[in-house]
Amino acid sequence: MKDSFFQSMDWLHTWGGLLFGWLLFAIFLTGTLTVFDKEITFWMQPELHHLESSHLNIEAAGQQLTRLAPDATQWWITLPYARSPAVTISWQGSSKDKVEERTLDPATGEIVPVRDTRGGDFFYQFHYSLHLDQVGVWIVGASAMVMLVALISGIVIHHRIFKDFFTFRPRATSHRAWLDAHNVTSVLVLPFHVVITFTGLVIFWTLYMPAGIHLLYGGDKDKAFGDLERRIEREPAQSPAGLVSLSELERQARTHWNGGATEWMEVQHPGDRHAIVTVWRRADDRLALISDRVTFDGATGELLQVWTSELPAFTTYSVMIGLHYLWFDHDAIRWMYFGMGLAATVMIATGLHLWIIKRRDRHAGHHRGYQVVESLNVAVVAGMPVAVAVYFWANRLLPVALPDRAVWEMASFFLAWGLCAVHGFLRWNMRSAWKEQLFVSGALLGILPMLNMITTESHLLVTAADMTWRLAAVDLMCFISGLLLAWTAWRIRPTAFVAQPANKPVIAAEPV
Amino acid sequence: MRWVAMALSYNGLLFCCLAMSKHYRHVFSHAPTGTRRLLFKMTGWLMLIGSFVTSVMANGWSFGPVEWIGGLAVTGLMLVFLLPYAPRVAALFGLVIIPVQAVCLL
Repeated sequence: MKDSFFQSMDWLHTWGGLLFGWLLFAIFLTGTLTVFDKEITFWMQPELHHLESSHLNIEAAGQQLTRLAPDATQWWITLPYARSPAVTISWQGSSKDKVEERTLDPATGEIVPVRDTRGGDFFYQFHYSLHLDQVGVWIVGASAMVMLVALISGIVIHHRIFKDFFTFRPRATSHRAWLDAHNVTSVLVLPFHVVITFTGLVIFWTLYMPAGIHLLYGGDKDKAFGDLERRIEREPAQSPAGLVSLSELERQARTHWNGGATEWMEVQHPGDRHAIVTVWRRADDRLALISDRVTFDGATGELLQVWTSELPAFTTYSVMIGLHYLWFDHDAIRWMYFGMGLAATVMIATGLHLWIIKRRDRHAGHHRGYQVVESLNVAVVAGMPVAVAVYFWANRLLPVALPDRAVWEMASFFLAWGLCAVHGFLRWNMRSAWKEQLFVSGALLGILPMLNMITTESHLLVTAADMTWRLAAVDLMCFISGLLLAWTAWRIRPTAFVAQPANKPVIAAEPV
Repeated sequence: MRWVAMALSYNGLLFCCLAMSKHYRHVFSHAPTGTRRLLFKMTGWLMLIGSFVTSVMANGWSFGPVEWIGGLAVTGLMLVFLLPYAPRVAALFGLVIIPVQAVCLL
């Protein structure tokens, strides 16, 4: 037991922060990239860069589906909008696991052959599940809970939180400068950190707090959501019938909403007498992530249901997850979240670095444990940007016709990251390790616009000239990030001595 | 209107910051008087309230508060990174954007 509450909170903050800091850095970095996931996906699909979503031909999309998937059990049509100008059609056959997808030109309905890539969705899935499915969701959830603990304990131990609100002394001693940077990126951005962590946990409430469903529904999640969402579903009648015009139903659906655009449409049992067409509204003009929907009988066109959320708890939940998902159309807030997310990564990185600095000052020579911690710091904080850069490079360089291309792009990310980890652990001189990896990511990201010029026709000069800012911004942000990373690498002083191998026993002065 | 809110955030934070002796001395090279500190503090808070109001006016009650908090974080970080490297620039920037605010309001 520590002597005081303050010491307990200090211990909690230090160890919770360190042990989960690497995971949290990865979660926050991929989360920050996910803010612009649709833009990144679009950038990674150069075949779609000429598309404009101004004219939308839903009939053509419906015809493609009739041609390609007449026997499917479900059709989906995702409509284009500013962030994603293509139409996507997908369908599911009788075997439940296989969903096929095609990208269409919105005006003509023609299939646009596009390179196989996960795009920004790769970062999205990494962010909430570390690409480990259910286990990953649990790990991320645990990390989020430790993040909340770290935030609150951090506030408790920050005595001078108001006096040092604006204090940043980069030219003071190393320890003070890094601590100031850690404090400033935490305190000034505190509302964001608390809200984003808490709302992130709320998204998976059925996983982390299932008691209500167990009590009221005996653990039957499907029944609980059925009551909540009141979707209309019915079995196919096994007798064929024509499908009412999809564009007509979409137009009718919009009359039930106060303005607002359609996000996607679903057809259950197309071509059957019991077909159902549901039109979903794009939730882009409100905080709450609630998709109002209108349901029609597919064979007769009869209106079956107009649904919107009326339950207060569900609406509250939707506002909370809406604040996390950022589905709404608000570029200023989107950029702010991006900046605040980056501040969070700086907060975590400076925290991880502080742990090392505080102990390096106290102990001459290197304790083996400290070597592990610092190598992990390099591998995660400097290694992840390298991996991100390699992911983008792979998108431009891998042959378009390569089978499983999307998997290869993701593999490049993890291979690059693995190499950085190996480098971080093999390099004795930690300063050089930082310098080298930061320089590599800086160079790769900085040169990316030029690579783009060689490999596509929608590079920065073109997109800046015709003002397609959604594409130009990706190139520009990569370039600026590259400059910042390379400049950071350049600023690191080469060390005066090489670190000693960790075979000298170090007697700790006090138990940590 | 949105830019007015951001400018008021920056200035509000700047004035609250300069209301503290150590930051005031860093920018102006002499200690502030008690009256000046009070004046700066009140101006700072008034401007922060103003930035909230203008943010709601620009974005409505749903997005207004969200953009306000984001704006505070972003302008706050900008201020805090400018202060140690170029304290006069940090202060002058606040001064320069006041006419910008006035023009936007018109």
